[in-house]
Amino acid sequence: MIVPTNRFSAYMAVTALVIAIALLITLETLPFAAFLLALGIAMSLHIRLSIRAVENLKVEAVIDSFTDKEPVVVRIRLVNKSLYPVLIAEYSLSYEPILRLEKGCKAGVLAVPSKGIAELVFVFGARVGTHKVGPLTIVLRDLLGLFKTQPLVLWKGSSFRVAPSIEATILKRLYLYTRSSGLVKAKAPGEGVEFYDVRDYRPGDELRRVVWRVYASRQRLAVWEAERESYQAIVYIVNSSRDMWTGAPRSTPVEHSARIIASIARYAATRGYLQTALAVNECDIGVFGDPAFGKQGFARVLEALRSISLCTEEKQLDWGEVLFKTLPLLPREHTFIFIFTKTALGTEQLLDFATKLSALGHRVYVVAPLVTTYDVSQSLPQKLIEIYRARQLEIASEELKGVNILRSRGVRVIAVSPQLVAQRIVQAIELTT
Amino acid sequence: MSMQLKKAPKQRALVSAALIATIIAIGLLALIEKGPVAPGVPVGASPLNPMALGTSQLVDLVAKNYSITIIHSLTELSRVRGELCTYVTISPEVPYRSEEANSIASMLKERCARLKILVADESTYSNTLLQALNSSIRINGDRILLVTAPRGGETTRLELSPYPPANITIRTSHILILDKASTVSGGGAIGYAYARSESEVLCLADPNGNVYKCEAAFAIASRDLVKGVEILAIGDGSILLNQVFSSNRSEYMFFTQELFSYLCENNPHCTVIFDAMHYISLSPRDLLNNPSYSLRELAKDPTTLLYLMPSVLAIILHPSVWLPPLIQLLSTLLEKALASIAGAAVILLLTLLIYRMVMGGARTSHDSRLPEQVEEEVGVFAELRKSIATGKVKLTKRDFASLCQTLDAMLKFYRGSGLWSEQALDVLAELLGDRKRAYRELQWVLKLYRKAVGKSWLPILVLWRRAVKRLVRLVEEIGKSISERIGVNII
Repeated sequence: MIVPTNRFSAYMAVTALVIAIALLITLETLPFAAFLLALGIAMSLHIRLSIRAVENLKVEAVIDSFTDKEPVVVRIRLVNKSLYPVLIAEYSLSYEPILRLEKGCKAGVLAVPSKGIAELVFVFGARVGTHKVGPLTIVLRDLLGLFKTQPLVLWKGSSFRVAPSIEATILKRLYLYTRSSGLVKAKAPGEGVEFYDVRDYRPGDELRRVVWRVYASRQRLAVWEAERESYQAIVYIVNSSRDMWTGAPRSTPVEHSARIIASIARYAATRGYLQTALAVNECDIGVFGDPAFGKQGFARVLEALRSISLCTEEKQLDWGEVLFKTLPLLPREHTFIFIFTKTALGTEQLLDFATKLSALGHRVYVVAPLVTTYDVSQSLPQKLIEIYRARQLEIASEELKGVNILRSRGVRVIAVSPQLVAQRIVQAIELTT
Repeated sequence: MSMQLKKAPKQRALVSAALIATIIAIGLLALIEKGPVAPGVPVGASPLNPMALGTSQLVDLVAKNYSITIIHSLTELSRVRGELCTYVTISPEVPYRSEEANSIASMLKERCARLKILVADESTYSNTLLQALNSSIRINGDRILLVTAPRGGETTRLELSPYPPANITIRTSHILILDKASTVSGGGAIGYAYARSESEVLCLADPNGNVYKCEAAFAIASRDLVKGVEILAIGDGSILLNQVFSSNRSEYMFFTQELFSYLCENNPHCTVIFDAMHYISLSPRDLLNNPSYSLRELAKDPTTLLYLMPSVLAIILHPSVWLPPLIQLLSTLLEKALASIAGAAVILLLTLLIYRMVMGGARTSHDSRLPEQVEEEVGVFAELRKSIATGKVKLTKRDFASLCQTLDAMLKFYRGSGLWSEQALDVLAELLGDRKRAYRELQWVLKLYRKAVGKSWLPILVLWRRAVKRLVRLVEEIGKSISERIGVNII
C-alpha cells in the first residue's frame, strides 16, 4: 500500500553518502547521518499512522438535489476520531463528465485534524435526471514526499436525482392558449366523481344523490351532479441517448424535453388525464407503472424524468425492446404516445416502433427536437468555423431526412421550434379528445 | 465516454526548471547578503521587547502624546533633533562605556535646544552616563531589602523582602512598590523607600546579599540640574516595565503619565529618545552555542519563551544562518574526499553498498498527482468539434454533395419536393424571393453537384472550399426563410 517515491531513492543516496563519509573520513558527520536515517524512519512511521487514521475516518455524505433550478450541493464530512491527524492528503473527486462543478475544487489537498472534522463541499449545476458523483479518492504523502500510498477510496460515491422544473411560462401559455383558442371543452355533467352542480330532482335519480341540506332549507328535492370524466391516456417516451445531451448544460434537447413534459403533465393532471412516462437510452429502459390519474400520474411522469441518465456504453437504442416494455402499459386503444427523440439515427427502427403502435389504434407523435438548433457556438478559428458549419448542416440534413421519412410513412411528427413544442402537443390532445 | 478519471491535457511549462533554479539561487544569495530581519531577539528592559520584562508598552504609552525615537546606534542618535528632548534609559544590561557616554551627552546637547535625562536603573551601568553629564547623582547598585521582625515569637528568623514601598514626588506624590531597587546618592532626593510600620526596617545588601546597613528610609530618586540639563534618576527600572502596565494596578500608569508630562512639560513637540543600544539580544547562535546561558536568560521570564521560540525559529530558518556553514562543511568534506582518487572510489563504492543495503530492492515510483475529472461536452457536435480541432478535416467535394443533400432535405421538409424535383425552382424562388437568382443558384448547385459525384467533368477547375462556403451561405439563407415562414428552426 505504501510506495516509496523517486525522492526517497535520492534521499537515501545522500544518506548513504553521508554514512560513508562518516565511516571513512570524519565521524563528525555521523550525527547528521543518524538524523537523516531517523527522519526517513519518522516519515515512514508518519505515513503508516496516517493510513491508520484514514482507515478510521468516518465519512458522512449528504447530497441536496431538488429541481434543475437549484444547484446540487454535495457535502462530504470526514470525521477523524483518532488521535493522529490526516496531513497532506491529496484528493480527487470523480463525477459524470456532463456535470459542471460550479463551486469547490474537484482535486486538491486536505487535512483532517486529530479528533476533528473536515468538510468538502462541491456545488454542481443541476441537470435533469440521475447522475453519479464519486468515488472520492485520496493519496497520502509524508511531509517530505518520500512515501506515498496507493489511491485509497474514501467515499464510494452516490447517485442523485434531479427533477425538471415546471416552467411557469409554459404552463401559463398553455392555459392561455387553450382558453383563447376554445380548445378546452365546456364542462358537462356526466359520470364522474368531481362535483359539477346541484339541480332539481328528476324521477329516476338515485336517492343517495339527494342534497338534504337543500331540502331542509327550501323544501325541495335536489340532487348533485358529477362532472363527466375524461379518460384520455397519455404516455411520454423520452429518449435520453447520447446525442440528446448535445448543447449547453440545462439547454440540451433531453433537458428541454423533460421540462416541456413536466409542464404538460402538470396541465394534463389538472385536466384529469391518465398519464405515465418511460425513460429510454442505450443502456436501460425505465418503466414507472401504468398510466394513472391526477397527482399519481403526474408523480409517475416526474419519476421517469428524474431517472433520465446518460449511458456511457457504446450501444444503440433498441426500439424493439422499448416496444416490448411499452405495450403492457397501454390501455386497449386511443392512447396518446409522445416520443421525444432525435430522428437521425435508427430512423427505420423508430418508424417500425411508431407504425406498430399506430396499428394498435394509438395516436403516436414523434416530437423531434432538432439537435442542430441546440448546439451552442464555440470559439473556433474562423477557418475551422467554415468547416464546422458545413459539417453541422450535414448533421441537420440527417435529422431532416429522418423527419421526412417518418412523415412520408404517415407518422405524425412535431418538428417545430422549441418554444412551440408544448403548444403543439396540447393542441394535438385537446383537438382529438 | 466513461466515469473514469482522465489525465488533464499535458501542459508545457513556460518557465523552465533551470530558470527557476537560477532564480532560487539568486534569491538565496540575496537573502544571505541581507541577513535575517533581526540578528537576535531582544530580551530584558529593551523598548523592543514586548514581553513582561520589556518596555514596549511604555513606548506605546508615551507615543500617544509625544514623538518618540528608539535608538539602536550612535548613528541614529546623530540624526535626532528637537526643541525639547528627553533621553530615557531603563535598566540597561550593557554598561555605558565612558567615550560612548560622552558622545551621547555631547550629541544630545548639540542637537536638542533643551535636554532632560531619565535614568531608571538599579545597576551601576548608567553611572558613566551620569558622570558624562557632570551630574552628582549616582546609582549605588546595592539592594534595598524590607526586613520584617518575626511575629509572636514563633520563629526568630527575619523576613527579607526585595519589594519595599516608596514615595516618589514628581508633581504629586506617588506610592509605589519597588522591585530589587537600589539607593541613589547625590542631587536633590525626590523619592524615598520607607518602612511601613515599626516592625519593619529597610536594610541595604551588597550584590552578594550581605546586609550591611539598616535605616528607616533610603533615597531612591534624585533630581539634578547641570548647565540647563535636568537629570532625573530612579534606582529602580521595574516600575516602568510591561508587567506593571499589564497588571490591574493603575498607580504605575498615573506615575508614568505624570513623569513624562513633567519631563516633556506637556509640550507635544517634545521628542522622547529611548535607548535600545544597551541591551543584549539572544541570537540563535548564542542559543545553540551556549544553551545553559540561554536557558538561564529565559528562566527569568518563562513567558518570554513563547515569544522567543518562533522568533528564533524564523532566524534559524533564514538561509544566512544555515547555508554558509553548510557550504563550508560540504566544501571541507569534498576536499577531503577528493584528496586521493582511490579514497573517492572507496567512498563511492561504500556509498553504493550502503545504498543497496538500505533500499533493500525497494521499487520506487514517480510521484505523479491524482488524475482529475475532465468535464466534457457530449453528443455529435462535441465529437465533430474534436475532430475539426485536430486540423485533419478539410472542405472537399464530398462536403458539397452532402450540403446538396441538406438543401434537398430542407426543401422536402418545407414543401415535400426536393432539389431534383420539377418544383425545385418554384420553391427556391419563393424562399429567396427572386426567381432569376433562384434559377442561377439552382443551375450552379446542380452543375457542381454533378461534378462532385463524378457524373460530369465540367467545370474543369473548381475551388471546392470556396464553393462549399458559398453553398453554406445559401443553405443558411434558405433555412432562415423556412424558419420565418413555418416557425421551425431547422439549422
